[in-house]
Amino acid sequence: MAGRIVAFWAAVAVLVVLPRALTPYQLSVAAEIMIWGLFAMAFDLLYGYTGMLSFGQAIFFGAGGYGTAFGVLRLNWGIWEALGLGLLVAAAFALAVGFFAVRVSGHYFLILTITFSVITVLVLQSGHWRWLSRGYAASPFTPPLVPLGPWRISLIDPLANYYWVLAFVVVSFLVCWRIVNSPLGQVFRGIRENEERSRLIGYHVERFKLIAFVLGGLFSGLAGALLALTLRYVDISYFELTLSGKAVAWTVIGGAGTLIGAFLGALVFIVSTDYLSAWTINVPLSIGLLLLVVVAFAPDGLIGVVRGKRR
Amino acid sequence: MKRAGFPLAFAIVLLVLIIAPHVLGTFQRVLLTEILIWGLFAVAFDLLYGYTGMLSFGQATFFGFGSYAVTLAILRGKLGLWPALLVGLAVSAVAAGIVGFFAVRIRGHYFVIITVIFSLIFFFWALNWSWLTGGDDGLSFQVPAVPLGWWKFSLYDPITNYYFVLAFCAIAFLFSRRLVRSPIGRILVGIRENEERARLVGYNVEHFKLLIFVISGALSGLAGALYSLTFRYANAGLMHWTVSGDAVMWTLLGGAGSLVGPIVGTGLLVAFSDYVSSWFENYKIIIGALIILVVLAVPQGITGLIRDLWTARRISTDGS
Repeated sequence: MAGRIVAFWAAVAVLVVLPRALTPYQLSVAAEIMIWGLFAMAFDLLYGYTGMLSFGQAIFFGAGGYGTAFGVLRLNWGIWEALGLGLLVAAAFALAVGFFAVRVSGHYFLILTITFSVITVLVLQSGHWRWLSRGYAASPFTPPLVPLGPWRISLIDPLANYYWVLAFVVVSFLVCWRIVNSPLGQVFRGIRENEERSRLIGYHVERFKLIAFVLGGLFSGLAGALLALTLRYVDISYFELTLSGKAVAWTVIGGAGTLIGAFLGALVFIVSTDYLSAWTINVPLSIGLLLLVVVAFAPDGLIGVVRGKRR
Repeated sequence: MKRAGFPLAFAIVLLVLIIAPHVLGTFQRVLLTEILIWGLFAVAFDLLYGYTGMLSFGQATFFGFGSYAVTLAILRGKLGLWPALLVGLAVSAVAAGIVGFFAVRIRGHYFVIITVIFSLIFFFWALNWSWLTGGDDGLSFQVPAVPLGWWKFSLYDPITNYYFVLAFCAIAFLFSRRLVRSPIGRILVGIRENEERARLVGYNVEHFKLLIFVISGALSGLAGALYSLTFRYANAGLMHWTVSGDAVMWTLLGGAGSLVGPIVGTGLLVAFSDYVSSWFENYKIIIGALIILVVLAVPQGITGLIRDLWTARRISTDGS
């Protein structure tokens, strides 16, 4: 345990000094990787800890991104208020979807989350909601300045944005770490291992699953909000099912049920995609094969490989 | 149901389907042909999911393989119809064998994930290898005549084509029914109910899972081949995961684990989409809501619901 805490703060220290070694472009890529890692971690909270394989996390990612953009673009709110709105919208969506989804488990849960995800995109694309979502036409905006004590920080500066994202990711990680190691986290794991048993012990399983679902939605929403502020636009691709699938892929590659695996998976995936795309046009194919090898031979992911070696 | 019940019901439905094209208009006949093909695809999925408990999101892969194999055998191989159809079946069975070899070793959530991955790999492969597959544009071809004994049939005649599809669907349905009622079918259900127990009883679970995966893949391939022969083209879109998702939807709505259910579900949803899409652009939202309703409230599907109501009524009349 102590070793892991040291490793964590060492990693944070590296991330703090890292910008000195990176170009502005690499800096923005690094910020994006952290955001995707956060998104994957939110999925891990659901899947790795509570056993709910959700293919609908993009709903909350999009809700967070759109909520924040709406606050900035239409309501002319400051950054904190807009961010708060994004999180609120994401949590509300998670509550609404979760209300139904946690009542079923296994295959049905999976099918339900896919269906909700597809419906969300269909509704936003349909005539009635296009005024809000604008389909695939991006809505660009300028992120408001971040008031921090006497300073005003602009997120358009890649360095400032990098540290802004880093701060949120570190705090989110610590919060999730605290959650999964709390009695609440124990209940989550109990549900993952055996839902029926948890119910018989006396836990209100649906309620705990809903808590996990909303927490997962909240952090997905935060990731969406941070990406919207980084890219300075939102469009309907924030809601795409493929994003949910990517979160699954990253988490599985890194190692489910470890939190840090999600970040590792996102890092490996995105960096290798970047390099591979210089070599071959069959990037999805190569990634697919990589994923196949992981699922078949290292079901505990890269983290599992590392830990297995150490043992 | 009584012993004579099934042959009688089957004969009546078959008779109705034989008469149908003479009564229906062109539009409805094409729709019915499509429903038969997709119904066969859903039955193939049901063998895997409803009977063996393997939720595959990759069945479109084998549909696509069957479709492409027939198309390429005719277009490039210059084969006749029967050899081409055999090639279609063989290629999809082999593809299912390869995918299944990996997939059946993996259980639960990871099985779903691995079928999605395979499905994506093959989809992008079909998209990128456009010299072979035509990519997104696809390939179109001329269907050779069907030699049958002394006669030669042309599938360009819509009614002949309809009967051609119907014959294969009827045979495939009877084959599937025979399969699930055989000892093998019992073992498959045993695996669905409790894989560990089936293993401890002494069955080689992986063998049976691979067997049904290959059979399901071959039947999906047959559906794909019939699709290509009917519409005379194949494209990468047929391998897209949403096509696999359709089979899941149809089967759930109709009732998984019943063979008839998937066909009912397919018929309802395909007909609904065709009719409603002409006057309501966002009809897919309704279908989505319907699926959510089914998953939450009627997990046994429509046929399951009817069966439950029927049993409940019989029990109450017997009791009084």
